[in-house]
Amino acid sequence: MSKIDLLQGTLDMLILRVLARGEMHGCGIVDRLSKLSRNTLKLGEGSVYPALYRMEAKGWIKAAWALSDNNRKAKYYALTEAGRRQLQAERQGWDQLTALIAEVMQKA
Amino acid sequence: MDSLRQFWLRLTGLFRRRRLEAEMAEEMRHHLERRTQEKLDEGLTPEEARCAAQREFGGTAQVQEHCRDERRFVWLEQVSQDARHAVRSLRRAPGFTVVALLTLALGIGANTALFSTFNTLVLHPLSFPEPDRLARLWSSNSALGFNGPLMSWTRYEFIRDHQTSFSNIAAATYTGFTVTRSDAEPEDVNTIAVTASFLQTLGVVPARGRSFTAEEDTAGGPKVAMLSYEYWQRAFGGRESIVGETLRLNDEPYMIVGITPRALSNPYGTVLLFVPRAFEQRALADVQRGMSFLETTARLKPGVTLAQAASEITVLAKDYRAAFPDKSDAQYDTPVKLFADELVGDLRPTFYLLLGAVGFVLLIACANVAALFLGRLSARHREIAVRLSLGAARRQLVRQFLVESALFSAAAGALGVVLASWALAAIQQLAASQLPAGVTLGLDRGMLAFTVGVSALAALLVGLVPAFQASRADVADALRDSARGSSGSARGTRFRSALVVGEVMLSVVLLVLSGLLLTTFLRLQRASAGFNPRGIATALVSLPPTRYKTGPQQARFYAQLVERLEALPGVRDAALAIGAPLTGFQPRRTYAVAGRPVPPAPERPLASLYLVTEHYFATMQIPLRAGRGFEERDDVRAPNKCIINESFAKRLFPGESALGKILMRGPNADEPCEIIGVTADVKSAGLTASPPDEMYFSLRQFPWQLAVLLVRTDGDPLALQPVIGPTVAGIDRNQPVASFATYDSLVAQSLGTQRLAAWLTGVFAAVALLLSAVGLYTVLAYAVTQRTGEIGIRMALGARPSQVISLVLRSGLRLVGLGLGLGLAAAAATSRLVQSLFFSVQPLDPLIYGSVTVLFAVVAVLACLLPSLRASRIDPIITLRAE
Repeated sequence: MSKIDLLQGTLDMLILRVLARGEMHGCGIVDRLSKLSRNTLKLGEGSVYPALYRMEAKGWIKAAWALSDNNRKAKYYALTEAGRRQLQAERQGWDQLTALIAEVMQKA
Repeated sequence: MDSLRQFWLRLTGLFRRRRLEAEMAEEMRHHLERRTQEKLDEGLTPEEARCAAQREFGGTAQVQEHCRDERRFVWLEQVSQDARHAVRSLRRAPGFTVVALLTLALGIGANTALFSTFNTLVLHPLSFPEPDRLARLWSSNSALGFNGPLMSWTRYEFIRDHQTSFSNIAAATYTGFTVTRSDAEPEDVNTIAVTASFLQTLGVVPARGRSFTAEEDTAGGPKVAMLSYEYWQRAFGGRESIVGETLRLNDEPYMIVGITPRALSNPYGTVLLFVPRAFEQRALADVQRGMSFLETTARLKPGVTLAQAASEITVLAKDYRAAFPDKSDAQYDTPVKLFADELVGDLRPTFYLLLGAVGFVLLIACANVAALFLGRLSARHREIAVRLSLGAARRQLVRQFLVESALFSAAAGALGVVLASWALAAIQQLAASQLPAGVTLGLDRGMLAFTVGVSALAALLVGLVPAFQASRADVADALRDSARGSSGSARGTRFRSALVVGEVMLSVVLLVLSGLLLTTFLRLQRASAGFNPRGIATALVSLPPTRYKTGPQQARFYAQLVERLEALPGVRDAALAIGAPLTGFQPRRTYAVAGRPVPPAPERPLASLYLVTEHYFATMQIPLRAGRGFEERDDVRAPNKCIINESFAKRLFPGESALGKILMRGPNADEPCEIIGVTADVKSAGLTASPPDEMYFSLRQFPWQLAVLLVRTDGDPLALQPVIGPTVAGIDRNQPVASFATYDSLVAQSLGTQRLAAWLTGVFAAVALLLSAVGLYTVLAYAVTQRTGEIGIRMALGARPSQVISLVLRSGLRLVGLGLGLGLAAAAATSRLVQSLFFSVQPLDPLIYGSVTVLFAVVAVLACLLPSLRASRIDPIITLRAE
């Protein structure tokens, strides 16, 4: 797996996790991600959108237009059932992976 | 589920693009505004805030592009973009586009038209249900040289009662009935007498009413008839009440019990009337002794093969011989054939030849177009190189060229379909006499699918090579400033040269074949058949037995008719005859020679029978070699007389005169006939066969109730058409005349297939020649363009224009020479294969091969001349400066 792919895959998981908390618009998701990662995760802000569009096409999230807190129309994304299941699966996969790596690093 | 949803989103994305775009823009804008606001709150100026927000966001356009990528059918949009680009670039070079389009359309159209004709005429001549289950039973006797689709009634009955291979079997014979109506002229209509099982065997049901019952089909049954659908519509206005009405046929009342289905298939398309009791169509004695006059059709039972049926019938034929040893057809075999084979069997070789020819034309057309595309491609070398260096994937370029050629071929295919429908209309018109009645040539779904297939194949052929070439374009090479004879296309030139050689070869083969076929046709036309058809008009006179019961009555009518016609101005001779070549009757009878042992009836030899009036030989201009013709004194009361042809006489009586010898005729070979004359041979069995044995008898002595009228005129026989009817009416108001035709048209019709084949092959050869010339020209023109620099240098170094011309000319003629040589060899081989189609011409006829060579050489020189002249006019200064 190349570096880019790894990043893309995990970005999806992170976004799903953020949305598990509640629905949010794209800008808000970026804020949340940087806050949670203590500002270390700093990808170009726009890069979250392709991921959002892709996940919407896959049916993991759904989008709806609504009024934002500053009274502007914004597109809010929310997790779907399928998305919830996907998050579960990816989380499991990630845990397994990290455990495996840790084991190798220790024992090798 | 995922992929379906994805698919759905992408599909709907195509349609709601504008709204989606707006939404996406709105979303991005919202994000940027928030960030800008945050920055403003942090204390930056509006300008700085905006810049910072934008910078953090990243390139908006790129982000949007990536978003779009997630949503759409990238592939489809790219292809449609390629298509638009292709249309633009094709439009920018109209000359090339038009020439290439027409070339390919010509090839595709010709193929489609011919294949459509082939499909209708040869592959599916019958439109009955399950036509490949319909068989015909023939009679053959190799000793007597007889093999035809006729059978005797006794044999038919025997087979019908004992066979197990067929679900249905029927017999039929053609005849003519006179229809008299109070509201119209008496009319002689084409009639067929059938068994009750006829329609059922063919697998069709009547359109109205019913078919004949078994009672109606037995001796002594009621007088009933069926009308054909078209006749019912035409002559009776299609009125429903016709079923149950009575019609006067041959002066007797017949009740109409039904109407046959619409558009009854070939070969029954021209029959207007159907009557039962086919066995009544000949004299009882003839029927009983086994005269063969019925056509027998049978439908195979499901699961039974033709071979199985044939072997059962062979056994039955043997049983018949044992059961009826003294019937005249006892010794006959009964071959079983497919109905379709009987109709078109002998057309197949010609059609395969034509199919091959038109295939050649398509190949040449594709080669030409491929060469044209290749040439155009080479001119775009630089464009390709630039695009490659700018990051275009090779795959993209190949895809673009494939789309271009697919689009092009689709357009050519569409144009080809239009051309094909014109061509079919033309063939229908020109070959009207050749086509079975009621058959229309048209494009059907199968044909359209074929066209699509051919176009796709053409697209592949045409686009593949240039696409292949494109993907190999060496970027650096092309970008280098090397307008002077770019070697990158050396391979292209070789390929195109090979194409041209191939085209020349194919064209030469076509030209030779068409020359041979044309010669065949012309020689056939001029071949003497033993009589002179020019200037003779024919018509059919059928005397109803109710008004002309006795022989002398019939003879008197004929004599009166001849007398009145010969009194007309311009008319030289008139006669009536049964058995004249091509007039539709070919009766044969057994005979024996008096004084020699008489073989039993089944083994007796057959000769063609002619019943003629006195002026027959004069009308037909058949010379009399010895003795005399028939005279008025040879009537029913006088002793029997006959006339035979000279090869017959020579064979029967070698070394002595046949005059005075006696032939024994009749079913028991007990009627002596004195031979009073010997005529020249008439090729009544076809121009390519040797003349058969012919016996002529006087109609006055052996009357028959119908005969073909033959009138020889000094002028145009067509002028007799309006005259014959009234002349007949002058003798008997109620007597119609049918089937007027000039003898020339009958002869022409019999040569129709050869004429069609010669004409079509000629057309294809001409098209091939034209296309090859165009191909030759383009290759040379391109080569000249490529070598402009080299030629400029040569001229600067002192070469004279004539030297340049000869240089270019030589390179072109080298290709032609190679192609010519290969073509002549291929033609020699091919013509050997189809030798059976030729008449009186050798497959290696030096005159034809020689003229084709000369013709091609002339055309080739002309095609090469133009580019060479252009080459000689290259101004060295201009070319050198352009470097």
